[in-house]
Amino acid sequence: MKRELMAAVSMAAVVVMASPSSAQQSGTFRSAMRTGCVEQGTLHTTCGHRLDETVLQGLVHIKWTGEGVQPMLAESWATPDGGKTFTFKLRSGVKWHDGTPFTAKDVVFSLNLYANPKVASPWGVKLSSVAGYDDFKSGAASELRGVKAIGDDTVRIELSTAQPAWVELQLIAISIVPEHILGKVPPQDIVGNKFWINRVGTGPFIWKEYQSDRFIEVVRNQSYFLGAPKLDRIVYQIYKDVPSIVTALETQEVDAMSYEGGGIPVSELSRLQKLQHLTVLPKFNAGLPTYLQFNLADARFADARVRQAMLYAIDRSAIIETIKGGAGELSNTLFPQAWARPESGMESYAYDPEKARRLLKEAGWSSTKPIDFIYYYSDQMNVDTITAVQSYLAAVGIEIKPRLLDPAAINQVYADGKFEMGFFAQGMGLDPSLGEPLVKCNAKPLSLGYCNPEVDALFAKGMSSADRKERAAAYRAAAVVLNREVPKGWLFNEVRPLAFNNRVEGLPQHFKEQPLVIFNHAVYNEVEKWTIKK
Amino acid sequence: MLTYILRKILLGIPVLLGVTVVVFAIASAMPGDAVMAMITAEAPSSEELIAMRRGQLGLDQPIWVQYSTWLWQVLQGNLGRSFITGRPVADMIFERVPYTLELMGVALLVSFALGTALGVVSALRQYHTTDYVLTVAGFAGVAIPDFFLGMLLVYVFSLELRWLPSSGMGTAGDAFSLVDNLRHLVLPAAALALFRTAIFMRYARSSMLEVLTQDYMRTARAKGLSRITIVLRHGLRNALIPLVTVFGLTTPTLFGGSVVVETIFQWPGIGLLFINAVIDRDSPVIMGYVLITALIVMISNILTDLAYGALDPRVSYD
Amino acid sequence: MTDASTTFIVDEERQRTLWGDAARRFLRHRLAVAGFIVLSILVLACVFAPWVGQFDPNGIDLRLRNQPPSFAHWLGTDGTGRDIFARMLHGGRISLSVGIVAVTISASIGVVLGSIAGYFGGRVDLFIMALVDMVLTFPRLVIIIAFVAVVGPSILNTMLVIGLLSWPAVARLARGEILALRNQEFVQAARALGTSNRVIIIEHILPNIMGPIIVAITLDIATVILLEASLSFLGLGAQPPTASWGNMLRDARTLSILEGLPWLWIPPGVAIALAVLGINAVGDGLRDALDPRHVTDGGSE
Repeated sequence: MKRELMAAVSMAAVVVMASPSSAQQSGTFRSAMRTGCVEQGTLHTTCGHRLDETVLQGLVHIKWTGEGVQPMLAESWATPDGGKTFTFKLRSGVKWHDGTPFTAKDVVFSLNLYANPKVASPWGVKLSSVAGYDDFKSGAASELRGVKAIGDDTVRIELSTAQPAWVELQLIAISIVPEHILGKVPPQDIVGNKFWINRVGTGPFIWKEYQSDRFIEVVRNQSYFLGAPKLDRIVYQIYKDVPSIVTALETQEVDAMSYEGGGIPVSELSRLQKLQHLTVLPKFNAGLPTYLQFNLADARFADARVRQAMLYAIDRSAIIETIKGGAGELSNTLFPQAWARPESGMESYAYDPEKARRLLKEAGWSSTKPIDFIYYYSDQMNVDTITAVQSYLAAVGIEIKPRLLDPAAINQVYADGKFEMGFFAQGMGLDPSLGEPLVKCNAKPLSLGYCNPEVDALFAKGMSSADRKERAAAYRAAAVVLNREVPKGWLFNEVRPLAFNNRVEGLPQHFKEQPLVIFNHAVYNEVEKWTIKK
Repeated sequence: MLTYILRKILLGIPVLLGVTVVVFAIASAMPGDAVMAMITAEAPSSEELIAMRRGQLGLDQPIWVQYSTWLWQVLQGNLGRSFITGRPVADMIFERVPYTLELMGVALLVSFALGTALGVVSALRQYHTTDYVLTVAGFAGVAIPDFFLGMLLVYVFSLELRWLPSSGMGTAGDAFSLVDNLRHLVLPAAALALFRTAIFMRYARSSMLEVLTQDYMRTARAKGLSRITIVLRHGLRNALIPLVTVFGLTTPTLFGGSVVVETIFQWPGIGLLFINAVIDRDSPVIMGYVLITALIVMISNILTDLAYGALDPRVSYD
Repeated sequence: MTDASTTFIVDEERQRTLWGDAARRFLRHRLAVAGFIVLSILVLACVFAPWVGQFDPNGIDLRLRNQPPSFAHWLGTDGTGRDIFARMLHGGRISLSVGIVAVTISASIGVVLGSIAGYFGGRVDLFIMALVDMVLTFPRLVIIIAFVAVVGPSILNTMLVIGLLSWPAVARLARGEILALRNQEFVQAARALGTSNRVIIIEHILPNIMGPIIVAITLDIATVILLEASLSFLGLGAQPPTASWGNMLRDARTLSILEGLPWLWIPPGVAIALAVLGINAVGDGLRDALDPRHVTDGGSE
């Protein structure tokens, strides 16, 4: 009896172990996604935008090359008055995934939804240039005056001041949602509505199934307006932390790294690069400057010399060489985009502890109690960086006490005005203008007491033209000021290493051509043309 | 018997209320609230927006008002909606309970069966090598943290040997298959089971040893019964009694899950949901979880007492 | 049959005291003695950490990061060039003291409340047991996270919150033991003599129940050390740059480190294992020595 039992158990074990993994099924692309990005909905999250490329869509999407936009639901548009009024001609014959025709009504509804104060979407601010936005937000008006439908296939949008680059910079953040479904939902119930776990869109893939904290499955949309996709389906697999994704990339349980919430840790790169089936992009620009954040209202940090001294005190090159494994570059100003920075004329803040001590003495630095130093990132590389920073600052007589806090606590510290110093980063790869909230006069909560009207004017100038050369001039001037005044202690421009499985034809190729991580926006990367190699 | 149960339930209610009050108080005292948790640097919100959202969620009320609103809702059978995702708390929790139950249930059953068996063997072979080996193995088993063991298992069986998948509870997107699910279950259950097997083994061993010295065992031997019969019919049954208590004490973890193992193996269980809720200051989810866990603890305590009474003829309740 | 261990006792007149008996029984248990020796070495090394490990545990040297063990650095260096041996010893101070202090807190509260409940019975008992049930029902992790978020992350606060969550088990144990002793003759005699309740509890009852309680809290120290390791894995516990065994082990989270830099995680892992093993072995020995009703389970006969 015992022997038969043993035999049965071992047979079961063999069956369990020998079953082939079905992750190799052809026609399925598996993409990693971080947790917490689905249920709140597109209007309220800062991640999960892959779903806004494949299921929902906008009028236009930014192209994967980072330059120019791809017309999506808008076939074309014109602005005869240099950026004050935009007339969009919508694509005809487009249907929602449930068969209802897509019309201008959906566009008007969607823009109003984003801007509606009762919906409280943080992305509503992207429409702040639209005429009537302030009235709508204060409650004086019940809709956006500047958005009008003309017939079923044209939408006219009027801005309050001319912004030639408005489409390329602001409109791309807006997804169009179905009026016939969400129009019935009261505005305050939009967030977390059950629509978001069963989305109806116009995109190349149709929402099939969602299992909480496990995956989202989307399948081919045969009648997609740019042509039926070649892939059968995409499965977005949800992970709580990065090391599990790295393991899954190696075992081929997943095909693509997610770039929201961290890339591949530097320590794992050499291991992954040895694998034949992966294309690894170790130096993928993250468009993410990291910096020391100061509360300028705190007397200790009010003197620019103190802030400059800290930069001289830290050997940032050594940190890049050692802790970051050579990845990333020194940052000496706000903008990670090379075109927004001048070729020369900025202080490089090279490692010079002597100069640091001198500046501190000049500024009258006398440290008694340690500085409360707050940080949010808990991955090994950043923790090591902070350890090194602490050590370097201690060597010149500045004592910081690092404290790890979660976002709720950090925002509360800002709100209470108790913030002293910290280590932060800002995802602004898309455009230099995204850095404005960090340095604009009295911008809460991030400018923390910095105010220079010259910088504000330069940012405004940057938005007033669509010509890259004109804009660059404005931002380069701002870069010089910010480099000199050090409102934040500029540290690094980060990289976000990514890896992709070669069996998905089109996936690694498009990311190789993408210049940097484009946070928080849907990116058009021709996903309908991708296939699975046999 | 009935009065005993009723009395326990009645005494349990103030405990339940007390737990919810204390947890609510501590959770509310944490810096920041759900609205603060949702603000990020890339999407800063204006102050009016923040104030309005707070009003919508009722976070601008004094704490005792928030608590009573929640309690009133619960008494009407409604666990409320998540502050962060807006979904009904009951849906969020019960969606994931089966996954936690599966993992913890398998781990507990395997460790109970294996631990008891090994403990009995160890007791029967006292003073022999088997006993020493098992005892040392038992000590070692409780000295390795769960998460560490989990990582080692993933390393050996997923990465190096490629026998088993590294995470998840099934291949995502595919229809549910029992074999696929079991393959995903092996490693996390093993990570959880080692520690518990060692614990059960120790208890089983000492319990069996105590039983072996009892008079009735000697009587059975004197009667000439075969060793197997003695051990199984007389010894084991009595040795199991205290083990039932120990097992009963571990049943609450069936529902609590193990956050650490769920993180490493991306097992979509309730432990993970709960930790995220704490970080996000999602009070309704926190309170829903606490309430359900407390109820389960209370029920399992009563059931354990009853089981103990049923198994041990010396104990009686009235 | 005389046993060889009596040669340990040098006195002419063999004083058979309670503790002398216990010591003798303990020394007979080979595993326990081995555990005790290992534990002592570990504890002493950690107590004298600054002298035993010559490096500053927080002294970084970026050019010497991730070096394997060598003559200069016996256990190698970590990601910022800090000496692993020194960090292990200093980290041991943290991990061990969290264990000891947390257990001291829980034992103090537990013994007091448990004794009161067991001795006086009635409504006091009911109330204290309801409190016990309540604390046992709290989800441990949320209370720890929330508590730490409210009062600030510090090692002292970690000790405090773990202690405050662990006392119920001790209380139950104490109460059970007292219930058994409460109606014994010597207690009734004391009561008949008019001795106050407080004196009865402190002088007569407590010494008799200390045995199982000491065993329980010794084993609890091991549990707390493991708990600290888990908390550090989740990012609670000792904050960087301070080292603790738990947060050193957390380094092994990525597989390259697990495979390629074993000296980063093997020392803290082994340290935890040795500490826990040692404590468990000693606890087993104490159980043999102090609890006369417990069946001796061999190991050295």
